[in-house]
Amino acid sequence: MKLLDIKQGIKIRWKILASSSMFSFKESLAYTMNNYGNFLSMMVYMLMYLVFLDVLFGRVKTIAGYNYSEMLFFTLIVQINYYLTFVFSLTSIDQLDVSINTGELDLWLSKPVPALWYVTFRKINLGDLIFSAIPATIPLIVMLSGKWNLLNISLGGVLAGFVCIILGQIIIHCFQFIISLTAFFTGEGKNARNMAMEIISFGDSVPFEGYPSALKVVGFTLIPNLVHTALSVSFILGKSVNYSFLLYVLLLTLVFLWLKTKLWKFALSHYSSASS
Amino acid sequence: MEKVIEVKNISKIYKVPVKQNFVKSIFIPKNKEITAVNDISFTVEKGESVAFLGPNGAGKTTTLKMLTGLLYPSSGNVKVLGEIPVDRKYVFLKKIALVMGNKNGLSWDLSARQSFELFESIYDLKHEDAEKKIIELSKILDVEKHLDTPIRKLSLGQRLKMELIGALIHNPEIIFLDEPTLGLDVIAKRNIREFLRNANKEFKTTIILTSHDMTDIEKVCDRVIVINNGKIIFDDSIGKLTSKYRDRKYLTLVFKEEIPSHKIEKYGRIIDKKPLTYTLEVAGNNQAKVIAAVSEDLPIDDIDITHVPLDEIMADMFQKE
Repeated sequence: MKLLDIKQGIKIRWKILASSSMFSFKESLAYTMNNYGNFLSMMVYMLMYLVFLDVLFGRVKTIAGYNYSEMLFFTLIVQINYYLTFVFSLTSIDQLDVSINTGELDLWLSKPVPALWYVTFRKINLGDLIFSAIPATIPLIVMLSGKWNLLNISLGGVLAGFVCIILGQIIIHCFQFIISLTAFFTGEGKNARNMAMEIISFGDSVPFEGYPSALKVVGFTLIPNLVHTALSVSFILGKSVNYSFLLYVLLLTLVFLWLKTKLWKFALSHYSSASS
Repeated sequence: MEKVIEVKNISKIYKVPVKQNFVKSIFIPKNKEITAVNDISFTVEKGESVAFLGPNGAGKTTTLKMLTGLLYPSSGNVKVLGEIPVDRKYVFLKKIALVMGNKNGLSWDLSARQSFELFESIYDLKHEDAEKKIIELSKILDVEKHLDTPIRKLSLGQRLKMELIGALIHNPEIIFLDEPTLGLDVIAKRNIREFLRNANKEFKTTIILTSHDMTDIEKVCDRVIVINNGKIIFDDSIGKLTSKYRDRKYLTLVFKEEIPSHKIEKYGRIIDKKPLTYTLEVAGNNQAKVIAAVSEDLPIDDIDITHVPLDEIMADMFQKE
């Protein structure tokens, strides 16, 4: 019986994931010009950043022990992480905030869906992945071509880095989600959400080795912004090869998932619903 | 009869910020407690059609939200279809529907049909069954031509009809409706009322409705729960509610020429006054005498006799409270 419940639970969650993705994709097609606008703005940002990096490395040889090729690779992982957050997490969190504010969450809470799962994956922005993320990353990949042999990449490092990206994404999603739950109490969580995004982005500023010890402690505990990019790149490029740290990252992920579930239930029990 | 809703002594207390000066409100915010629902109890049986009536802020919508599991009661117990609503169990949520006249459950950018496809997945419906239901409902509500139009391009009435279809696509056992005809034209209102009445009578769907439109209540519901200041002040059939006022009648008198008010006042209490028309409230056993006297004394063109309307009865009840 219990196994049947689990199977049913997985089936429902998969259906929600698939239909929400498809639904959001259709929504993103509703405004074609908006997709081009988004693509162009990201393209401009990426090109400006590459120029900045080029100028910077015209004056210095390394930043935090990373040479030009390694910094390009670091930027690639920053870019990938940014889009993963944007596509799989941020848009759904934005939607949650808006729906709390307008009271539309009422209508979703009255549907037979696992509420936490639903609000987490309500809007998977596949449109942005296709129209914006992939094209805007192409210049970076072009810049990196011919430089791969200059990077110290090993299979073990790539696997560890991949695990770190996935777990790091889950951790920062939970962090942002928890911060956004303030909307249940204040009615609006946009600024809190922006703050969370800034904190997360801070972890993408410089390579792992560039952070002072105190910030590293904070970045792996209370404000977990060093896993998804900084640590991942460090593993992939063989800068930090202490694989046992992966166990700690796994533990941190479980803690944040537990916190997300608990605080969601707490927030729901205090939901006051916007007046009709 | 099977009880589908059991409410025992529920209360809901909200905390709202106290108005203070700017600095205090930022650094030492204070809250006060507002009792929206105060220790109410009632039961609803399967197939009943019940209206929650009350002035603004009486606690109707809060009660509705506690019944659907959106809000946790501050105290007391609620059971709907044998489940505690805030547990939000799959089997419970699959059997209910919530329609809120002023909230959008459908995607603004997509067509209603595309949103219905998502609901089809959520409710785990067979495509053929869902499609059949959508066609059936859209025909009744006269929106079949607009199923593929983006929601943002629809009128308010068409949008609300689509919301209603989306809410009913899974044949719910209980429909909760909060102001379902808000902003609709008379024909749309009539269609929705007929549709709800039909669902209630034919399929024994339990209906719980809040509305400020008394015609909604009269046309759709058999029972009325009147709430004021968070407490139930009346819970019985509409017939019982109106019977208290059956000894009074409203006479609408249309004259051939304008008549000053003082000439009318002696026949009864003036309820409404327009250039050639007066509406008087008179005792039921006195109406024949009044009609005879008015016809003899004044240049009367037409007379209409009605019961005291439900909204007047409500206004009277709330004022007494």
